[in-house]
Amino acid sequence: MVETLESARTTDQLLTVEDLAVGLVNSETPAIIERIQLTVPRRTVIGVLGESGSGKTMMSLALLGLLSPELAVRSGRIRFEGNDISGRENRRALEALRGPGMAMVSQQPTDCLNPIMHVGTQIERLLRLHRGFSRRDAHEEAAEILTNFGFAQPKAVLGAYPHQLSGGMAQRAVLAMALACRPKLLIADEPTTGLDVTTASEVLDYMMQVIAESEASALVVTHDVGVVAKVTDFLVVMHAGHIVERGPTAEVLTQPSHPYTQGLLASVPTVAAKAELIGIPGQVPSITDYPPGCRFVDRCSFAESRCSTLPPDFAVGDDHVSRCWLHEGK
Amino acid sequence: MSQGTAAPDPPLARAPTFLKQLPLRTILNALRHRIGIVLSIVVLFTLIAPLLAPFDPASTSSDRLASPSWTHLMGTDNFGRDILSRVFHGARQDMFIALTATAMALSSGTFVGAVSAYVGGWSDTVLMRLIDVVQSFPMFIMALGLVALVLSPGTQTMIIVIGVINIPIFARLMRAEVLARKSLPYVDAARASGNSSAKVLFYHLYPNSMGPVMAQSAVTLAWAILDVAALSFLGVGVTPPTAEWGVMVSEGAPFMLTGEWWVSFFPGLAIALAVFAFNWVSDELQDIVDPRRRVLVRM
Amino acid sequence: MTEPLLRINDLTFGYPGQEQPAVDGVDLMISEGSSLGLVGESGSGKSTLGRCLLGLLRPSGGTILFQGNSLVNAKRSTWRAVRPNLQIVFQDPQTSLNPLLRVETIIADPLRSFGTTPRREIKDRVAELLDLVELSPDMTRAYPHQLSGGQRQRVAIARALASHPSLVVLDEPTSALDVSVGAKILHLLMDIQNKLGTAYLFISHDLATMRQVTDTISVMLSGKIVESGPAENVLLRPQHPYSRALLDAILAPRPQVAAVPRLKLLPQSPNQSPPLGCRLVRRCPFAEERCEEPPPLTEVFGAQVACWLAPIPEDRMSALRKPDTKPAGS
Repeated sequence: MVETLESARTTDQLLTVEDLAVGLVNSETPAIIERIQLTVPRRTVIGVLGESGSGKTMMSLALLGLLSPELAVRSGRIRFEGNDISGRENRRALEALRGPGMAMVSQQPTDCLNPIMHVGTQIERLLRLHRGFSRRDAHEEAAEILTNFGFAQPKAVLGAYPHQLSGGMAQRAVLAMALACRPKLLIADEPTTGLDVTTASEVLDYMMQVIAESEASALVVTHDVGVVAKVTDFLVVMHAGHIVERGPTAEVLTQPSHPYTQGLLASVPTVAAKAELIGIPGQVPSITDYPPGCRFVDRCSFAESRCSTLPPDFAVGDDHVSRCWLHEGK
Repeated sequence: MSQGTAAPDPPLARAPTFLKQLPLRTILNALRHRIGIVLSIVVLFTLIAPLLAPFDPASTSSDRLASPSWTHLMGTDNFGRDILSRVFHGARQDMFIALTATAMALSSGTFVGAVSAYVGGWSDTVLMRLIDVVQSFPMFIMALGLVALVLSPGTQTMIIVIGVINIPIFARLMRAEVLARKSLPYVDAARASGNSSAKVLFYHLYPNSMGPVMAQSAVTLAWAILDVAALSFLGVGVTPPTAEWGVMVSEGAPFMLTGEWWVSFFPGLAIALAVFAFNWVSDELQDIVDPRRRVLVRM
Repeated sequence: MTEPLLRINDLTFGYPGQEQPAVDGVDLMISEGSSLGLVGESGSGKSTLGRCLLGLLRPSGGTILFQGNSLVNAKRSTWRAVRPNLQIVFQDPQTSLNPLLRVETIIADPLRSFGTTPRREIKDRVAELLDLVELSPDMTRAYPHQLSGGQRQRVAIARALASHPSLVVLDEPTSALDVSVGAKILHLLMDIQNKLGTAYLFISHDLATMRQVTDTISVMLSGKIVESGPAENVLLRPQHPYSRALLDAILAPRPQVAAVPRLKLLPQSPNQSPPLGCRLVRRCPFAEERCEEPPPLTEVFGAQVACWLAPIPEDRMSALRKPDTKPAGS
């Protein structure tokens, strides 16, 4: 009965991830990312915030079934529109979803584009493959899509090679390509890293506009607090393979609960004030060196003995949870 | 679940677990275990091989083209000479020529390549055109020309010829590597730290650019042995009846057709083993030069 | 008035084959123990300027006066005398440390080259420097790849400080690092300045970081300084449309509430010839006919602004369209 309730509840969610764990294949080492809980409702933008070594990229690759061969999903269930796409037996279903269901843009826009093919050819191929356009219609549609991403002369861009585009243009072209198949979920891994500030906010504007128009959801994976503050509704904070805190973006950013989130936010410089930036002591533990319980314990100024046991989710607000013993019984 | 208190380590003291196991000991280990063994076997063998040889390599006998037996472990050739003894004696000859020629090509080639890339401009153009000229010269023509004009046939000539024709490949490799690295921040940092141009090039850039050169040196060593054979065939190199692997292979080749396979097979095997050993050594050398590889190997 | 530590006048440098000089008549001044921020987007020429200053590039015109020595076309002996006092920390500590050398050798490199420290004192000096950058002494034997990004950057800082420089060029010292690590590096740099009185030329594209560490700021655009003045004035009340656009493009790490008018630059079309007058003329929403002429320097609120319109006319600012609200959700 619990099972039916559960599935009934999950169908109006676009993507649900339950207790996902990923680790090295054939290895006794602890899972690198574990206990990942995530729900992506329709028409919602979720931010995944974490520094290097937090496992945020590994998580998004696991969602798409694109982990590198030395890594494997150890446990957990991933459902897309209620259908299980985790595990080997559902591999076909997952493959069919890539493109029209889920699309991903990775950090380096130029790596996503084939350097010896015109930008247009690459977009048109996708349109013909996934949306059944004819050659001519695909060309028109591709130009239309680029226009939505702020290209003043889309036809010229279609005929250009990737190296002829500037960083911001390439990132917009890649986003246009990813969204060309009208995916229901866009996974954007560091969409603005390496771009200048003015370009970055422009790229985000276009991305959000197209996502809103196509009624898609997005998972924005980034280390940049400014990006999540600008575009996301809901926020997931990761540290060393654990989700340490999740909740509505505005609430997490104004009232961070987990000591890691607090430390991270206190490290972000702002123009408004010349504040003493503190930073977080130590460094993200390496995957061979994870402490048994809370993985933040060695860097945390509140650490106590019970921290060597994994803390469960503690509710700290409406839909806002923190995995820290500090919140027990509050 | 263990109930130990989670006493946070001081953050920076925690990281370097690797420090205990690293550097000097690793080098010694590598030396002791791998390179050491291979190198000392090769060197020892080369030095004492003539003493181990059961027969005089040059003495002929009536026992011609005898197949391998307990008396002649590798058989005899068409003059009745013991092939095992000739292979043993050839080792010293071949190793010496190949090593000296490769060392010469490597040192002068990498020097030219590194300077050419670092200085750039017209000196780069001139040096690389010179390299082109050397490279476009067929080895045999150069060898014959050298012998006709200045040198007499022999080991020395062979070393010079093989050395010179291998300069271009090392020069080009080194040039490409230095070009790829010379605008890296650590090179600028070295300049800002007051290093002279020569020091920036040879202390900071050169060792970092050695990887492909090391790999190439094994290949060059192997080819050098084959070149020795080719040059000897022309009469430029080793003169009969001196034992030399390449010459032995080429002299034995016709007998393969008539079933006397051992005449070329055993010297050929010796060449293959030598090449294998060279490859191994160069691989290990790279591990020693590059600390990043050293750690990977340990893991 | 005493001569400042560094005075740059009308400095010009052009890369071969490029129409417009990368550094075009720049004036800068840094006094003893202070820090100057040089802000600009990629391609603005800020790093080129830093490299000219260090003698890594040869400027084609102008003067650099450092501690009374002229550095443009300076003799080898001048450089030998000046180098120890003029050091640099690069952006990416991964590539700025020679991977084949141990930490101690890297830090000792300037000590050995300059020959200012007696040989038997080098070891002590290295230990002292490690202590200064808060690295543990057992790191001396480590190789760069064994260190984390933050630790590597500390090594690079120790190397720069080895020769007791009076000016250190910091070329984006934190932008390759995680926020929580970057915050600690900034903290360290400020501590060092307080302790040793080292002057900094801080090159960055990040205004928020700049705010934490600099006294004065110069904003660079296409090789020219468009605005310079006290950090507070330039960052809180920028009077050049370009500085204003940079500031408005920053993604604040908190959810935004106030709907202040934002200055957005017009999209750049790639195939236009570079402007002869104001470098912003084709992207500036306020551009007028006179902007095709080189603008004069005006003093506004204690800052030097190179704009015909300065200060930014507030009525025209408010006439700009209001900032986009978040497209999805909220």
